[in-house]
Amino acid sequence: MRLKVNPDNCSGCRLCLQICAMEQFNEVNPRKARLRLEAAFPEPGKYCPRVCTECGSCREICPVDAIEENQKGVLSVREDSCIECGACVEICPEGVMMRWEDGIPFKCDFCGQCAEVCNTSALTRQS
Amino acid sequence: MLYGFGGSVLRVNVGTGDIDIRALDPAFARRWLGGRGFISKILYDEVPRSTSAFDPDNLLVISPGVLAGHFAPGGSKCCFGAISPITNGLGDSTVGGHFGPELKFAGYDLVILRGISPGPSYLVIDDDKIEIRDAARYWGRGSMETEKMLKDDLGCDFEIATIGPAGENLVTSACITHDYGRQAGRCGIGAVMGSKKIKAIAVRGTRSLAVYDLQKTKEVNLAIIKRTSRHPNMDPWQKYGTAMFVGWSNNNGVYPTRNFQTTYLENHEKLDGAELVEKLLVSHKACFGCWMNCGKYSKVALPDRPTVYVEGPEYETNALCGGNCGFERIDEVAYINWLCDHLGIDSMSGGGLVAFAMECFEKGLITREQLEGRQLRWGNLDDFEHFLKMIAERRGIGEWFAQGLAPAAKKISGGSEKFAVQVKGMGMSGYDGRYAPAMLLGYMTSDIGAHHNRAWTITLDDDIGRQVISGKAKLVVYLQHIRPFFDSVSSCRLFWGEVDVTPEEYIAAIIMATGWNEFTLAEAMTASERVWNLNRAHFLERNCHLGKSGRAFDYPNSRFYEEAVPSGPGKGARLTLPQLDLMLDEYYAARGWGVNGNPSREVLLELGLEDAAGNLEEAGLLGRLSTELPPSTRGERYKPKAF
Repeated sequence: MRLKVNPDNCSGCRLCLQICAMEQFNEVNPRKARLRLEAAFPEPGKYCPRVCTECGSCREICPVDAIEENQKGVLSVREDSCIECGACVEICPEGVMMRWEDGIPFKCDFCGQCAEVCNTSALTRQS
Repeated sequence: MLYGFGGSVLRVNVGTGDIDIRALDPAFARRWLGGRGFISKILYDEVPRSTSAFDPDNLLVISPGVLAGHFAPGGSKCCFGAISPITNGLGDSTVGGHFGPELKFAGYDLVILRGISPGPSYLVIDDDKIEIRDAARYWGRGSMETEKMLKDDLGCDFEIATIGPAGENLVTSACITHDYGRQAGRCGIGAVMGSKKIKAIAVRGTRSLAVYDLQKTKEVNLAIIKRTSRHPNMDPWQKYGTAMFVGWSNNNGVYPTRNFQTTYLENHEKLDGAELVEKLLVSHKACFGCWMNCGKYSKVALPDRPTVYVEGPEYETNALCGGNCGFERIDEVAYINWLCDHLGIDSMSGGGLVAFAMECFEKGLITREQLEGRQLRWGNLDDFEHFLKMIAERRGIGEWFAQGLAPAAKKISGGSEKFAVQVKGMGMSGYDGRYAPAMLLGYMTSDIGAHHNRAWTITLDDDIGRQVISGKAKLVVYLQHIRPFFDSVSSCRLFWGEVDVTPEEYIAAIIMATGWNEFTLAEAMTASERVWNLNRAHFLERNCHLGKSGRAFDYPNSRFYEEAVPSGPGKGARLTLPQLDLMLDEYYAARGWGVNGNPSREVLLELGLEDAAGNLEEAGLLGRLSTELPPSTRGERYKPKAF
């Protein structure tokens, strides 16, 4: 499963951020989401959710090969190998390799909750 | 542990720079719920009765309520309050967007500003780092321009609330703008912020909210999202937002037209939501955590004017700046919307002010000389723009209008007070009450003056009969209790009104957030009734030098009981002063107030407002019950039909 973004449909409600942090961390804190929202205001007045595309840049840059496919076939950070250098965070073209207070980076695991909660189809599941 | 809330109260004296952060008292939190409730109590307790709106001791109080920031229906709101420069009573206004949730994530349920800054400043709240900074570079700038500059300077993850030039110039209809087009619009709170020389407040919060039952919160709200997404009203709301009311309002004979001279605009189709979406829409815009996205973001490109972007026009702006000023083109109304936002004038009060001036010009009560050689013709954009700037800059007779509708009518005289459309000095919202008496009663008895959002009752008029007078008061009281509930808990009422989220579901969301034992709808409605009575007592205590009978403050301008509606579906509808008095009699009786419209000791004591009872008694302001205290309306329920 991957995520498809339809930016023209996004109304900037941040429900996707809210549910992501709840799902992944059991916390109400949209800043801990594994996706992010860009807002270009006052002009042109558009929103755009940015999500992981599994492009592999993070895996390529990782100096210790700590990023690899997990059992679900999704790239993820192996916490026991990560040296917290932050190179993957820097290289991510979507800006969605996340990090919280200089800890181990984390990324989307394609749980699909963001698409589940999106009422405008700005985010949808893609098989 | 205090679940559900940010947990802290921040006090800033912007005159001395003193900053104080203390824990929120859990008992206070449950009794007043947050938002409008917190603000009512703080202003009642802490502002001396002799303090006027622009005095240093007036407080600017900001509060996101218990549901702000939560995964719950419409948990996006934030209430701004102060003593109003329009009514000299409590004033508050609630804004959506993201400011309230951000304050909660920073840890604050209340922010209280006192004093006057020595120079233009702005306040930065960055979690527990609080700073007052020099705002010289932003002073004089438009609202959205200031927001953009601050985001560029501080970081785009700050949420900004700002005033425009009108707020800096203490124009009493000045608003506070947030999120490029959402406003805490009414009551002149932006002017109070300007009097404190605070150009903007920027907030960033990175903390997690403590939730009592997060798993259940997630399950329940996801189910509500799924259910309401299939509701037949969801699609039109998402497509058109409140702008779709234009046709409905005209067809129901309540659309304010040419300063409420009539209630039907002949070419209203040109201002309807479909026209807005077809011609101007750039994107749909939602508040925090809202899946109805009623905000419509527009691009306006008129010849000889800069291309501008604006959120709206939503219904109220459309009505009061549109048909009420004789405009029949959606792009012109959208430009006016931008102009109001840019200058920082509430587009509702601003539209009402200009419409009143246009009628004065039509009747020869305002001259070209007084308009710097210009005119004020219905539907003329150049005239509108020129005069609105006269108000914002307090130029010439713009000074009178900067003081408000009632002061302007007094200066103009010549019988103009008859059509200065207001109650308690507050300009009327975008629904004429002559063909909707319960709506008029809602305006008359509202604590902040003629504002629809204290009790929107037109569908009640529809249910019972459009010209029926008797029997509506009790239901107006109920609506005046459910509305403060939403404003106090900082949740949008639209999910209740439009897609059938029940009050009990909001109560359940509060329990899941806070863990409050045995919290019920009856307790919440009691809190609302407490707020309503406290605000009435506060208004009387502050304004008793003008008269000791509350009833005397509750009448609209005489157009509403002397003139019949001349055209449209409401043609011929007319109310009389005895009919207004009958509605007030029933209303006061339903509230347990005296026939003079003043709260009785009995009702104040029942609500635990011993201090207000004492204060009213001391000032000779207590109402006297003619019968026993009526049964509370708290157990009753009435839900208006959805649009």
